[in-house]
Amino acid sequence: MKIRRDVFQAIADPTRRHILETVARQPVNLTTLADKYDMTRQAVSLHVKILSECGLLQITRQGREQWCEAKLKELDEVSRWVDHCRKFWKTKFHSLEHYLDKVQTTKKHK
Amino acid sequence: MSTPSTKEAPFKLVHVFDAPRELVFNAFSTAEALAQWWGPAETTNSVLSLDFRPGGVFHFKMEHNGIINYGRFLFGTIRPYDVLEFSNAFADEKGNVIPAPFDIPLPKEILYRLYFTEHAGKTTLTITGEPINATSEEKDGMLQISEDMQRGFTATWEKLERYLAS
Repeated sequence: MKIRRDVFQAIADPTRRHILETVARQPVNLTTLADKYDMTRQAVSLHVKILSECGLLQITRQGREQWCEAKLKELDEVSRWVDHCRKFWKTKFHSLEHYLDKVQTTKKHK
Repeated sequence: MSTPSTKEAPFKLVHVFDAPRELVFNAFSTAEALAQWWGPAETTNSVLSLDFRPGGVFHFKMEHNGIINYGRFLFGTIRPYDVLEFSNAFADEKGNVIPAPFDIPLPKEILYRLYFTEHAGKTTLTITGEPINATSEEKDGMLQISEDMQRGFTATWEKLERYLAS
């Protein structure tokens, strides 16, 4: 059974986040990209493959070179999640503030 | 070769609390405290179990209009009163991780890291969040390069966000 990859898997890894950031600036060929990292070309290729399978990056072959290009629209899903996360935690920190106030007031009155 | 030194998580939020950090930290450590502030605002939340230690689980219930969902923290690093790490996911009634029960795209599991610093009686809490979503296939592939990964990378995610927003 093939597990469907998603954008969250794509960005679950710091190297892949870095690769995305690089290719989002401008398309880059795989050799140049691989040279940027302190890891084997195979390892970089694997990250690129995962990003491509998650729909965040497109690989185009030009002669002997493979070019990587970011699919920025697909990143919207990530931005939406980050927004959702921020809203959620802002609300939670608000409740935590209330809780802390209550605890500290109770202490003072003892 | 680039020699990045930090790895930034996609989500980051900083908040200052008017309380000593021991108190802020401990708000995550007991069922009594968590019952009072944790959980979605729109649901009625209750603590089912809490085992506050590395590898321990916090299992909770969220109720809204008769619909019941469960959630779970799995604690990682616990360093009072500096650092707290846990992953958060939806769960079933037994505490097993399940995908989000909504039709909106969310990571199945999120790793949160919380850093607490205190200055003049106020606590700055920095939280970062990133999805955990590796398949076993990927883990196998990554095993050989884990050493490289340990070094960390400057994923200047915020820059990307700014780039995308511009």
